Amino acid sequence: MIELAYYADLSESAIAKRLRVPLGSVKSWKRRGLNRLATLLGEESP
Amino acid sequence: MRHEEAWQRLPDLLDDRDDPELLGHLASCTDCQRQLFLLGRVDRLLRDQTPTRRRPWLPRAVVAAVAAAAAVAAVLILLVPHGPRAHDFMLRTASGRAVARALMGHSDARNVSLALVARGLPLNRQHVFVLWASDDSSTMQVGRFMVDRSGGCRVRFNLPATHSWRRFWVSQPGNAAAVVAGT
Repeated sequence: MIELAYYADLSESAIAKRLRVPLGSVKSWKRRGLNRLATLLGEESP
Repeated sequence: MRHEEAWQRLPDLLDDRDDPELLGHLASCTDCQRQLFLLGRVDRLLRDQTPTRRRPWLPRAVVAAVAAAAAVAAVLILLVPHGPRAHDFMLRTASGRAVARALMGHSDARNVSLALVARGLPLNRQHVFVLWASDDSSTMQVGRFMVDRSGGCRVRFNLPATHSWRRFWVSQPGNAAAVVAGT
């Protein structure tokens, strides 16, 4: 999800279309991925 | 808004999905403020890595051709006289110090995207600022953003494409008149 959003520079709706999943799922997965990365970054540099 | 719900929705603020409820919680929750700061760093790191990640997909000949074309374009840009680009705005403090740059680009049929890159904004207690935009007839609050300890950030917003946004400025949160920097 993060790869598609950032490296492929796709919008959330484009990702939903490509993966054939609801837009809400894409938003949710992206939020979860970013929050996870931010938490890991915070653990590395408290 | 419950803390857990706000926490999950914090990444929305990176895309300027301005949510008063979420911002209200953010103002009083230091955990969420720290998470938003970290999210901003993640966002910046991901965007900064994008070009280097894409390069391996391209054949060397294509990379060489693109590099040569870029070099020619750079020379032309340097040699041909031109005024400031209409979609590139520099925000300066009252003393004239450049502290942010706003780059406008196409987003979709109804919106234009605005990338704001700030460096050295004079810090306030919350590290939060508000970006405003105006055209000849109207003014709108574009959104809030948070800066790091050096007063820097990189955020993206969407603005309605129905206006020709010409002026941008940054104010303190809660006081639109307290302008920190502007075009």
